[in-house]
Amino acid sequence: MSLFLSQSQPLSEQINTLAFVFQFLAAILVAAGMLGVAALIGQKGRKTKEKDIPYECGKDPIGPQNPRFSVKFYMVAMLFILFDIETIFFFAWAISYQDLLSQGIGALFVILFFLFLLGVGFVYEIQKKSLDWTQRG
Amino acid sequence: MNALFVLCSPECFLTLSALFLLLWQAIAKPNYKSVGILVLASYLISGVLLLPFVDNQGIYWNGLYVWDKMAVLWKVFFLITGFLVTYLSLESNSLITKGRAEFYTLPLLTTAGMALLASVRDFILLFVGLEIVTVSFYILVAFQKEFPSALEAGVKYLVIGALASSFLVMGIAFVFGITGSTQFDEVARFAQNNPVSTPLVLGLIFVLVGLGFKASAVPFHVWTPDVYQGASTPITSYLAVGSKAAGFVVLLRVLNLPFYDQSFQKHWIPLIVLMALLSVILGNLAAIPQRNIKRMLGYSSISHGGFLLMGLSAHNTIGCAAVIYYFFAYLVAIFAAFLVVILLEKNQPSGISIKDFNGLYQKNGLLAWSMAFAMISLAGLPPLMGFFGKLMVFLAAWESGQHLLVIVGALCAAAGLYYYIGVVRAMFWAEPETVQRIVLSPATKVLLWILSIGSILLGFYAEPVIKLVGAVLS
Repeated sequence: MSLFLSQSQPLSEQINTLAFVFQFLAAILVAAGMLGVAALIGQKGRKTKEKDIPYECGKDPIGPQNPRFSVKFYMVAMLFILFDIETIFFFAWAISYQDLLSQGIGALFVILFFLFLLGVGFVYEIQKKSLDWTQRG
Repeated sequence: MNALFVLCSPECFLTLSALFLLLWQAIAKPNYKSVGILVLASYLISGVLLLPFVDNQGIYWNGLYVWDKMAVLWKVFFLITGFLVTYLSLESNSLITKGRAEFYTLPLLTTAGMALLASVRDFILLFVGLEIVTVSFYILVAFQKEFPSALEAGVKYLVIGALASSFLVMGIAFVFGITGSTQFDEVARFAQNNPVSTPLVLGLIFVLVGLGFKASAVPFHVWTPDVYQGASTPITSYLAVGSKAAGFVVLLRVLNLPFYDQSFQKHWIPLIVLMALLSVILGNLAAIPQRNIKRMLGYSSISHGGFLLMGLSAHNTIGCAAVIYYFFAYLVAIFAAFLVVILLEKNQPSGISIKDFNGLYQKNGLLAWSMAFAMISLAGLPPLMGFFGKLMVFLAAWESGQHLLVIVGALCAAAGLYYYIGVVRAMFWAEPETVQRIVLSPATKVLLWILSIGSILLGFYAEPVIKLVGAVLS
């Protein structure tokens, strides 16, 4: 503890440092506690071969257990997230728009530029046929 | 800060031209080579647009962004880097899949990110700039997805890069949590008026870890050899010069402003010294047994990172000037070396070994001499640029009392001679399997001449250059 608490620091500083130490301790305790307590007092389930196979309505599964997904799924998910995040930026802008307008019209141009960036991305995406499911790759 | 200034700054101009080129090539589907030539042109135009604003001084956007002499110098450095990388990409176009002009436009955005990093004055902007650079490198490294080696390099770079970024963000969070600000001046002011507490030091260390990854300093270097070997050669040269310089420009900014206070220095100087020591030892010794030239240059890049950190450990103006001069020497030598590698590897995507240099002098004298100058400059023999870079770095470190570091560094530099001279020996004294003349295009010849003569001339006239850099810093 002496590493963290030196006499030269003011009391409030010491409390700050202590809180920091406690945060670390709490994080470790919670993580270790969950695993440890579960291992100590939790009931061990019986482990059989049947329990380890994926559940498919009572029938034994057929074919490969982890089929390959088309990379298209990831592509669409990624593009979705990109254009989804855009909304978050718009929220922050829309809330403070009234205040910003009092400082001049600049706030409008900023968001228009942002929109332009997205627009370029969108045109690029369409032109490259990234959303075309029949396209290979 | 007027609109013209914003538009003419390299960050903005390069981003706009990248957007324009992306749209143009998506809609009009031009020949991918013409996109590359337009990219070269936009680097040149950006350099010209920079000229009227060289003397500007100021801190903009509530202390987010600084425009000073050092920022301009680094922006010019990054523009030169971007230009040469694109030229190298055009030279090695046989390896790039047809119709993939993004390979040329993406470095524009990377360079824009680097130019942004040259003038950061806030940790948030630092993170954004570093991510622009790193994320575009993830794509560029894995760009030749036909080759498993490139994919391997891409995945390794992604995983380790993500880890390093998370360290950086955690460090920034600690700094913000303690000082209540992410702005460099505010952090510096806090450190002057308050005692430095343990969490703040932890924040400093985490930031150093994140930047050590970019600079490929030793405990954080593991990705370097594999990624350098797997990435396509122009991108390897970009990683060696651009990415490393991005790390160092941020280190220069961070260590000279928010973490400049004495109470910080007593924590980071030993860490930087340790990183430098390990880098020079491991980089130079591990490069000796390498037979693949790109892998060898990867280890050599680690050792150069060590020498540069030596300059930083001096924590004074001479040290910082030495770092900047060293980087210009490194740029000239590395691009000359990689241009030769690209011209030789035309038909071998997996990278070439030292054996492929056998008898290069008989095939093409200019290539052999350029490579020889590059190697000698990297090894640090007089009178080339690399020698004065090393000398300056050693002097700065010696003056600040890092005697052990300088002695070990000099010994390692001597050990490094062995593998650099090995390439020269292969080119001039080994017999080639077949003597087949290599024909160069006029532009490539001119570029090789410029790089070779530049490394000699700037070596002989090192003093004015270093004085200029020193004036920029003060």
